[in-house]
Order: sequence, then structure tokens, then C-alpha cells
Amino acid sequence: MKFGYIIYLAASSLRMRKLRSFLTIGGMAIGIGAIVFLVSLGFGLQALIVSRVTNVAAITVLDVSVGASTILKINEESLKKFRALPNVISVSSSISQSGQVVRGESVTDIALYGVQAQYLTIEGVVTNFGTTYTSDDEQSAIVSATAAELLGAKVPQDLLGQKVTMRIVLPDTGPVEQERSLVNTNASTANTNGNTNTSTSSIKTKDVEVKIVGIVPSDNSLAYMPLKIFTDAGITNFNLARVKLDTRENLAAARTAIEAQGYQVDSVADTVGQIDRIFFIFQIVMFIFGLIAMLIASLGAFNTLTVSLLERTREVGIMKSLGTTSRHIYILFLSEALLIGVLGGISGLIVGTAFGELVNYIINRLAARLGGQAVDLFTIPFIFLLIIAGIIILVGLITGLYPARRAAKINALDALRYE
Amino acid sequence: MATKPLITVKNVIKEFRLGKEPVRILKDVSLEIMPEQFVILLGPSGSGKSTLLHTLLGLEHPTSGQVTIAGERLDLKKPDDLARFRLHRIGIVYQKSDWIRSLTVLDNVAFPLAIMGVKRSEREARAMALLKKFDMDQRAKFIPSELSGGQQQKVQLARALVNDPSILVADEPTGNLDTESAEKVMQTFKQLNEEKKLTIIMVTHNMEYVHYASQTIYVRDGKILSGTGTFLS
Repeated sequence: MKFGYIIYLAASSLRMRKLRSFLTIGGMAIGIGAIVFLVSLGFGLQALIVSRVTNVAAITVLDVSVGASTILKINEESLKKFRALPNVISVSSSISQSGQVVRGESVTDIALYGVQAQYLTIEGVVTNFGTTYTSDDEQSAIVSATAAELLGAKVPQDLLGQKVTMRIVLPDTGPVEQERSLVNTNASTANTNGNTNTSTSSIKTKDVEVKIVGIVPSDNSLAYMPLKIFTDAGITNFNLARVKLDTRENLAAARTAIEAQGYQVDSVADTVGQIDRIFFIFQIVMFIFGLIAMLIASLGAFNTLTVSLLERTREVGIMKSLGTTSRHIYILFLSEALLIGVLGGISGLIVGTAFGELVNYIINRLAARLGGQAVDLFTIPFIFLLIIAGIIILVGLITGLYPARRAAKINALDALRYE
Repeated sequence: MATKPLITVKNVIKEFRLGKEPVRILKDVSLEIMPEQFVILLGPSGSGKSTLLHTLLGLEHPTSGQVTIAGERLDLKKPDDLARFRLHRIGIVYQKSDWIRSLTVLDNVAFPLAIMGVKRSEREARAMALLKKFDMDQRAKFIPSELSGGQQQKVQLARALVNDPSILVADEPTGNLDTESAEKVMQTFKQLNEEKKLTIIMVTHNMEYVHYASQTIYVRDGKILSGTGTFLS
């Protein structure tokens, strides 16, 4: 018997019992659909959150800080050490200082960040008005919308192109700070340090005139300026060094090396790794839920096939007496199970994907109305499609093997006597 | 007439187990059937005639003894080989018509050819030709269960002949038919025997049909009463 004919026979049998076949295949479709819907939701959410937490460039970056240490410094010398580590592509540094911004009569407190122009992207600085600065030699600043408001701008973009004065608070050098803490408790030794002003409350500052080139959306009062402005002001210790590696795999080794020097190392990859781990569990849970639905559907299919075999006992008898071999009977019943599985699986993929798209569409419509961004909540990786295909074949085989074996073993004469 | 028997049954014993007790249905049966004969196996129900027929079909395996058809030892073959043997050499008509219910009359008649792997156009043409011969071509696209008993028996006959068998085996083929339809079936058998030179072996308990036979074998209590080579015609 040719394989094409076996499929024809299996399909004609399914066609004959339309309602039952429809319900069985429908059950399979719901099972597969549930898996597709739930797991693709898991993958979609993961992709969404990872993309929100980080950008691709930041994933191979280690953030080095001094942590709680008061002795460690990040300066040009330590940057040089970081650069010397294997697999390091580049090392950048940034400074955060408190300060004030002055525009005419308005003066407001502001957090000042020194970031090299080329690392603004990694830092996640995205302007919604104006542009970022492109050179470290510029006397430019990017301020937050909140800072602009505090400076009296009706709308933040009014400030674009305007000149303001940034008053950078200069930090005390290490030893001074230690002495200062003594000064605070013991006023008599206050004047021994020549570097500070006579009053412990007075703070050294440096004024820099900059042009505002861009606005970033933020609820905090803050500004970004080229790092050079800060180093020119005499600040030699950085708050943060960003060590960029060539690949994510080399992150761990570099991290160990840097931590050995006493520094605290954070990485977006940690967060991403955690997200991945959480979502892996989430996906497994989703998969299990789907699998339960699938299991119920499989039991339905198994039941259908067994009942169908009982009904067709005489049919098997006549087939055998006419010369069909047991092997062909076996293949015929197995094909029927696989056909149910494949039809159910394909319908399930369509149903699951379509339902996901529908939910995504509704959510995006809502998001658009509420002013949010469009997102893709459902993602089906190719490998997952292969897994689904595997499940379909597996379920087909498992539900079909027993009835097929039984059918193959049927004695033709017994079958023809069966009522 | 050919000198060599087409079918030889030698010392066949068939036992069934009923609980722990073996029950002997065929008790040392031997017979020979020459080619192109119209043989009627006659006997009351429970005599073992159907078991004998099934043994000839290879559907029942003898407990001991030899069954040879056209030089092939059926008692030595495996079930799947017996299936292939039936497929190529024997046509079968049962008392009760059994069908693959999801297939049309035409597909059912063509089914043995499909098992052989004959391609669709050819098997449909051959099946259609036979349906036409039995005046059933108008019913080709019907589902078999939609036909009357007599019509179904005609379609069964078409199915039995589609593989060009050399032996036609019929198990009470008239059992479910009215007298008129039964007579028609018997006429057709006779015609096939005479024109197509088909060897026919028919089981019945109805003495009326004995006059069609060229050889009658009486079976009673698992034994042949009037043994091998009883030619009545």
C-alpha cells in the first residue's frame, strides 16, 4: 500500500466522523494554542523588559565604582590599569558632582554629570529636544526638563541655545576630607589646612559658562556636560569607570580582576542575567500550564482513536482478509493519530499566534490612547516552533501507538465476528 | 481437465481451546480440488465447514496437517505472507457485506488494488469496469451502506474479482438474500465458473444449490462424509 493512499484512507476516516474529528482536532488546537500563547507571552515580555533595561551596547560593559571604600580612587592611573586588562576594548569614566545652575536671576541646585560625548549612548542619554554634544571640547550641556523648568523656562525647549553658568562644587581631596571630619568635631584645628577656606561651611566652587544644546526628559534636576569641563576644573577622581569588553563571555574574568583590586563592579549583564533566569522559570511555568491543556487534549485524542478502533474492528477484519498486512494496518492507525496531531498542531499555532496578535493589538491600541509606546508582547523564537513541531509528533505517536498496535494485532476472523 | 489438483488438504486437524479443554473442530480432513471446479461445501451449522473454508483462506492456521494451494504451503506461511497470498490469488465474498465505511463503492471495490499499489487511474478503471458488469456503475459514488442487500452482494462480488483471482471463495453468499437475488448470485457464480474458468468454493447449508456444483463436499462433525473427488456433475 502506498503511503499516499494510507494518508488518503486516514483522512477519509476523519472526514467521515466530522464532528468527532473536529472536536478532537479542536482540543489539540486549544492545547497547542495555549502553549504557543503562554510561552510566546513569556518570550515577548522577556525581550521587552531586557530591551527596556538595557541597550545592546551596555551588555558588555562593567561599571566600576569605589563602593563604600574611602581609600580607593578612580583616577587616570586606575583607568590605565583597567585598560591593560585582557579583552578590554575601551575604558571611559564619568563624574557626578553636585552644583548649581545660574541663569540671570534664577539659581537652582542641580546634579552635574561629566560624561564623554562618545559614551552618552551607553549612559542612556536620549534627548527629546535639541541634540547631544558631539565633542568633549564643547562648552555645552544637556539639562533635564525639570531643571529647565526651575530656571524659569515656560517650555524646556526655550532654553535651547541659551548660555547658563554651571557652578561645580569641587570635592575635597582625600586626606583633607579625613581632616575635615576632625575639624567638624574639633574646631581648634580648623585652620591647619591651607587648601580650604577658613570657614568649614564654605565650599570651593568653579563657575563654567555653557550653552544648552539638548533637553532630556527627567523628573530630577540634572545636567550632562563633557567630562573635560570637570577635569579642567581640577577634579581628578572619577566616580565611575566604564570598562567595555569585547564579548559577554569575557565579562566574568575582567570583573574578577577588577574586584581583586578592591573596586565594586556592577554590570547590566547581571540584571539581564537575572531577568533571563526569572523568565526562564516563567516560561517553564507557562509551558507546564500549556502542557496540561495539551495533556487533556491528548487524552481526548487517545479516547477518540480507541473508540474509533472499536467501531472499525470489522473494517480492520475485512481489510486484513482482503490482503492488508498487519504492518499497513499499524501504519494506517498511526497515520490517523499523526494526522490529528498535525492538523491540531497547525490550527493551534494559528489560533495561539492569532490570539497573541489580537491581545497585542488591543494593548497597543490602549497604550496609544494613554500615550504609551507600542510594544511587542508576543515573540515566538524559531527554536520554539521546532519544539512545538516535536511535541505534535510526540503526542501523535504516543496517542497513536497503542491503538495502532491493537489494530495490527487484531485477528481477521475475530474482527469479522465482532458486533 | 488439469491433472494436478489446485488445492490439496492433507490430514488437517484444527483445535480450539474452550477454557482449558481443547475442542477439535476439524478431525483429520483431507481433500483435493481440481482447477476450474465449482465446489460446494455443504453441512449443518457447527459442522466445521466454515473453519475448513477459513483454513483454505489462510485466515485459520491448522493445528496440524498440510494445506497446499497452487503449490504453496499455506500452513507454513506467516500471517502477513498469507495476507499477500490472498491479495493476489483469492477473491472472497462473505455472507455479510463488510465495507470500509469512509470510502465510496468505487473506492471499496478498488481497495485490493490499492493494497497492491496500483495507481489510482488504473484501479478506478478496473473497478468501474467490474461495477458496470454487475450493473452497479450508477452507484459508484454511493457509500456502500446506502445500497440494498442484493446490491451490496454485487459490489462485494466486484471487489472479490478486481484482483483477477484464480479462486473465488464464498461463505454463505446468499444467506442474507431473498430467493430471487440469491438465484441471481448463483447464476453469476456459474457464469464466472464457466466463462472465466474460475475455481469456486462456496460454503452453504442450503441443499437447493447443489445442482450448480461440479463437486460437493459434505462436512459433518469435522469430517468429510463423501470424500475427496466426489464429482456429482
